Amino acid sequence: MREEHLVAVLNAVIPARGSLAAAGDLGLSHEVLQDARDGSAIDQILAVLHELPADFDSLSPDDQQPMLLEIETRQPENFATLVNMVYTAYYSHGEVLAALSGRTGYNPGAPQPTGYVMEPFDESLLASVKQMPPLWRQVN
Amino acid sequence: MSQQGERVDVVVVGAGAAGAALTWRLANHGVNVVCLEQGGWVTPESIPSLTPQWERARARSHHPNPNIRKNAWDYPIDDADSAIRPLMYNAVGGSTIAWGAHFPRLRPCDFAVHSLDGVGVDWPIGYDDLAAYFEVNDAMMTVAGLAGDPGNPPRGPRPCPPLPLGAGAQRIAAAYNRLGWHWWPVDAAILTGTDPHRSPCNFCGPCDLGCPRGARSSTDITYWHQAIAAGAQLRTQSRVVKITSVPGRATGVDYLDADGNLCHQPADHVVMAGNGVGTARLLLLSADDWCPDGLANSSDQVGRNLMHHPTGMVTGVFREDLQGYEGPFATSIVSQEFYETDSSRGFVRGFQAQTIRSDGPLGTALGGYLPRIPWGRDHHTQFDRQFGHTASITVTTEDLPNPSNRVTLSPDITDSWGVAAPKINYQVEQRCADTIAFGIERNTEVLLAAGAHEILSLPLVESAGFHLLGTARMGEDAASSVVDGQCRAHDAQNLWIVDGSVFPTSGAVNPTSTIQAIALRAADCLAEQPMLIGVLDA
Repeated sequence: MREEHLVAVLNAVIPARGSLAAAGDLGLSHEVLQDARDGSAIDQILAVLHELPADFDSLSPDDQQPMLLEIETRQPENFATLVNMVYTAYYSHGEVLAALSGRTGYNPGAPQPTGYVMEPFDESLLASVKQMPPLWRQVN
Repeated sequence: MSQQGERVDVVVVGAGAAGAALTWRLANHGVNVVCLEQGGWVTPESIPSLTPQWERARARSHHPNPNIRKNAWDYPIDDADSAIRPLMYNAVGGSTIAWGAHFPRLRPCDFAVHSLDGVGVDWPIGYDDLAAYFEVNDAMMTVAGLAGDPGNPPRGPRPCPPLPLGAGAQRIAAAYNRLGWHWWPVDAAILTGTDPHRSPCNFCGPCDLGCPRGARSSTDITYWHQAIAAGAQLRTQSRVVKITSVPGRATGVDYLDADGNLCHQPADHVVMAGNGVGTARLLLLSADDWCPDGLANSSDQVGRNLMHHPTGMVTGVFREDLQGYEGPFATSIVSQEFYETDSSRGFVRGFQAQTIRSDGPLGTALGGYLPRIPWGRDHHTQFDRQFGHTASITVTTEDLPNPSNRVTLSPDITDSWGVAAPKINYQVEQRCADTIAFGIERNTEVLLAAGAHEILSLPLVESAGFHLLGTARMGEDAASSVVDGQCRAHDAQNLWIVDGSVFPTSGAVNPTSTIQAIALRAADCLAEQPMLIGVLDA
């Protein structure tokens, strides 16, 4: 397996856009491989990569994507495992979460201890429901 | 050479939702009770929601599927022939460690589906037999909610006020009002009031990862401390491998301690609380000369009739940023407008519609409860449309007993100690598929009325195997059931089963509240039994 192939595949799975780097350019290939080894999925990843032509990393994105779609059709489970691992690495990466935070206001840190402030429940919303007759069946 | 423990009145197998409630009740009756749990305690410091990598933990080390999580305390499940992946957690607290804490009760009709609708079987007990235990359990589990729901029988004031709705659930509630359909804030086992030992919910979201504040209830923090204070013993990292027995009677359990030593715990009564997969597995592993097909299995019903709640999901995508990742993921509002049978629909029984908030970035991308975001050049566009902009509604259907849906012992897979793993054979029946199709149409109406501009749907959430029911069902007839209405095995009168495996049918709601009410009631029945210390030895 050539590492350049894996980087190219990762870039095709999640390309760059705006402040968000592509998955391969973010340096996630080693993490994906390690995750695959830890999860006993390395053979699935290698099976996908094995189908790539030798010059895959030098092709244009427009040429790469249809090739990967064909492999996905032939090896749906293996390709899904690869995508799962790429997504997991990408959306756990600090730079990606920081970029999302900048665009959406999402808190990229730990959910705790900060949590969120939310408006308390407004019981007046139930005014019409409270007028309903019992909706459950009596059973003797 | 096994190590022999001192005889106790009762040994309980499993420290989860049912085992904790039953042990607490027995200890308060003055019963000498010891509980064996294959897992250990989960410390607040270890909970992933304290780290920015919480979603990665959810996808790997804290995944609810033990086949993915692979904790040292877990056992593998052979699920290659199952349409739904069974989920569970093995630790003190059991699967309440990794749950969303939605806490509805079965309705009265759920106990009499054969009499009312001509399908399934009736329970030997009814809602009224459990009503008082529901109230006790709600107090112990610090339930948040609001009394007065016309969709359910009256219940006492809820211990804590209801959870906030958030923008998505508010839109859906308003849509229900416009359609004239039922909805109500959920009962949730989440502390929203005050407690001297716990902090109230601060709406962080991922309840399923555990709660370092102790706001989201799990039985390690609700029942267990009080059970131990009342005199119960809890032995962790103790994996029971066999219920020992003589004809007509259980004598105790064999278990492996943390070092792999084989130990024996004699007891006058044995209580199984290992969930609908674990309990069936252990009963089958406990075959002996007098019960060659498994303990308590003269009816051949042990392991059969496995039920989940086959679930479809409908997601509305909104143009507005709903910040749907804020708030407890699984708990806001529920509709039971279509819960009861309406023969004009072409199928009997109905469904629960539970509103689900949206997920964090990784959960959004991976999907599971909604379709995965596509990879490739449109990835970011699709991600941006959905992240924080969705609200979902489940179509939670009632599974009914099918003897072909079952737990057996895997011929190929073993746990870390070489003990046979459970194997699952499970298919979704057509009635559930029809119910889900109907529910997707109704939920689509609601979400469009709520302002969604795009609808996504999944006809079956494969990863929704949270509820493991039916594999040692209760009934009056010993030829067709495993335990009686008190949860006592027909074949061994001092063997009790108190987890979800005793459900004859499943209802269409989350079962934990009902499981715990059954366990509390069984504890009261058991406490009235004569303890047999010394009798068997003599």
